Amino acid sequence: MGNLREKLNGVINWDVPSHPVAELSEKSYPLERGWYKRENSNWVGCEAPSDRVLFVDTEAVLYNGHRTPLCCSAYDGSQWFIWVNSQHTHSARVPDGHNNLYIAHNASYDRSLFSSAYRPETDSNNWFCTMSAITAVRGMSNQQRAMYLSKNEFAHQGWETEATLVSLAASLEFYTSEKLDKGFSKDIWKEGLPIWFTNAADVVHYCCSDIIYTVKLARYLLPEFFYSVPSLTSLSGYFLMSSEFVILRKSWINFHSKIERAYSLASGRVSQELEKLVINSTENGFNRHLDWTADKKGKINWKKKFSSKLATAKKDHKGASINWRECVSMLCLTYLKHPITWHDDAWQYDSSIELEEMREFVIDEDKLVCLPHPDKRGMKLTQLLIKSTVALFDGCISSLATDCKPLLKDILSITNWTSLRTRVGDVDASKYDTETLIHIPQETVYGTITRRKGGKLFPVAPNPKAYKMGTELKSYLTAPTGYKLVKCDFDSQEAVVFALLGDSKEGFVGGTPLSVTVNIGQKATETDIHSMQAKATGMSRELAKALVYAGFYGQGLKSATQHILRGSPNISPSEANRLAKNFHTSLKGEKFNGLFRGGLASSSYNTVSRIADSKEPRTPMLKSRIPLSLDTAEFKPTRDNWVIQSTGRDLLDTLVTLITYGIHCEGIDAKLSYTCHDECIYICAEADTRKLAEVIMHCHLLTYACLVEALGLDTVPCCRMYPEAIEVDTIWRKTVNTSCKTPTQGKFKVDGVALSILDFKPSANSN
Amino acid sequence: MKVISKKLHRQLFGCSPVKRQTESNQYLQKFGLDSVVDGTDDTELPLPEWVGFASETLDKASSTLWATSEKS
Repeated sequence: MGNLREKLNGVINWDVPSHPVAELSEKSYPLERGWYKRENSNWVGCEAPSDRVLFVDTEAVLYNGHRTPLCCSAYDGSQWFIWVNSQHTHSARVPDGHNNLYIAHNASYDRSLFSSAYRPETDSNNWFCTMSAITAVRGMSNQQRAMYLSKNEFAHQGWETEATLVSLAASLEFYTSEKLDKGFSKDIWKEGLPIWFTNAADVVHYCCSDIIYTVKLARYLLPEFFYSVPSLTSLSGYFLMSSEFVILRKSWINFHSKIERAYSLASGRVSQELEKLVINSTENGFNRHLDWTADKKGKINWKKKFSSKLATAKKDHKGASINWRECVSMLCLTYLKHPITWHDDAWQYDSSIELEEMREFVIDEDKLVCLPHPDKRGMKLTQLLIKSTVALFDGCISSLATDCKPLLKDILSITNWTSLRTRVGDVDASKYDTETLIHIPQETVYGTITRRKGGKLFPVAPNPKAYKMGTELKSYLTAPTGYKLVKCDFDSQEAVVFALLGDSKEGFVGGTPLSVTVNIGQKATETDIHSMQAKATGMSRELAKALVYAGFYGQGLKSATQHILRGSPNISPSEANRLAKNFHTSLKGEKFNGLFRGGLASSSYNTVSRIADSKEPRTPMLKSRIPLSLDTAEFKPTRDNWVIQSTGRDLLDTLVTLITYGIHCEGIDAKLSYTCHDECIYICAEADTRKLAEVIMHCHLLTYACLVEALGLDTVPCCRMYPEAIEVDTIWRKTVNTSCKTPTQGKFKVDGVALSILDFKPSANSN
Repeated sequence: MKVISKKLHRQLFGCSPVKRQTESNQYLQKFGLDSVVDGTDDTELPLPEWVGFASETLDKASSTLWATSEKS
């Protein structure tokens, strides 16, 4: 047996297979549930294939609310296999073999349908995803994708000829110009189980065809992938993360329906209250944008239209919505005391009026300023009561209508669930032991061009908030009976990476002011970077902090000016511009001969820029290459950010590889369960948690030692030796002291302990 | 700023730490910051047997874990 990398390499030389049954008819596929291999133009029953490299593809339908596989095809370079399912139960999985290396496009989807994934303690199979590979090699940033998909013409800059969308059809077309018709895939999903009884032969045929396309793609893609991601450590991190699983509390089964019930009650209350509010409303400064003229019968025009809209909604068993502008206008909302109104297709505030309490006023349209969009900088905000604006209600937006406070509380309580409900409903979990369930997240290991993981639920799940229903989501993630979660992360990972990159120019750690402030600066003594920047530029520490991080990610002067204006509406644009300039000069320094000098982080900016602008940008640690789509003079902030984020990914690959090796060497009963951003979560036998925590301490130090060595630095700063804390916990939460109380989860007390380096010192052991 | 002890440095990198470049301290002093000093090993955990030089340990970990098709 060669190693996994050699096995993947071997695939490059495979011939593209012919279809196993070119003229497949309904009669020629086996009806009995099970695995079959193709021999002498016949399907012969066999055991599930094991000890092989297999391209696989699975077709599934939604059946009784669960994804159920209909069939699976597999190809090992010379032999075709199929598995067909004739017993459709909600717990059906593809009963696969062992010691296989599976290759698939969007592999996490197929893996979630394979039975071995649900037995992580014995699972010996590995998965490689060609969609992850194409993302790392030729994927696009969000900005690029928007341009690429835009119907509008954009100035062709050359990068688009090196980039592709990541679907199987788009990727294969990129390399071969071959166009695939994937319409049948939609038919399978749309028609559901009946398609199996009417058109099973076509389903199996289609399933085998996808394998042929994936083999073709892999032959082009894998050489590029190995050139772009050459390190065995990167591949090791990749394989570890492609085997992730989460254990959920048994009560997860009722979680969705429980929150749905609470949501239904609260949203019903909200609808009724909004309706009452609208019906009883009178004209005021907040709602004057509505058409208050009356018809001959004295009926107000906008209220007439509202009644008609409400009647239509009620036919669909709905009511007045928080997305309706008329409703929002009745809440008398202010932004930093300035009244909010609807104008020019956006929510805006009048910067010339300040309101402490309700009084009459007239909006001055010349003084209106668009509310900042929390997600899309520069975009108009057209929906005010959505998940991403909720943070603004914590100090920025408030209601002057005192009788609206309970209503607003209800609204804020449900906004989060509105965005989560479908994704939570899609989670397919199976019984693991008497107290827990197991779920295989469908997350792409390389979900972005920086090779960070992509996922729609857990990576974006909020921390529990006392006033938001459903935010206890993360707290459902737990360990099986007799086991604990052991969690660690990198403290201030991006800031540290940025600082050490700057040090690499000087040749030793602490060689730049940024490095010293990041590594030993303290808020209390005002020597941390945010306080120093605040002092240097005369702005608040909070604003400085936001600008520091935005600055690390490549925020320009114009963008920083807008940032200041959003947070401080009383500052004039020219003053904001002056502050932004001061800030940039203090952080970046002045530019001489193309290099920054004299700023807190000049060296870091110069180093990042030098790497991003080099002939073939690669991460300093594991030498991963920038995607070919970013190998251009354009998208400078994205390329700079790629250097930091991808180095962060290298750190994570290194850490999980070392920890797994430590687990192996120490004989610890533990396994990587889940990673989220720079956080790793292990499931560990209760008796071994302390041993694992100590291994993690050593591996954290080793990881930073590898980074500083790769950067040509002399040593490791003490503050980066060990993580601040390693949490041994019963559930997933920010820290062991984080409350998980929400409107839909009462007091929920579970054990958890945070271990620091002091707990491992010989003196601690003797106490 | 404190860095790891000379002993740990030798264990992780296989060599003694280089002498610091003191002239850069003027640059740091402009910002009112300290210079770099070595830590002591009483604040450090003794390394276990399976840890050698940092990069060698990583190479060994990466290749050992995936040397066969079987997961560790």
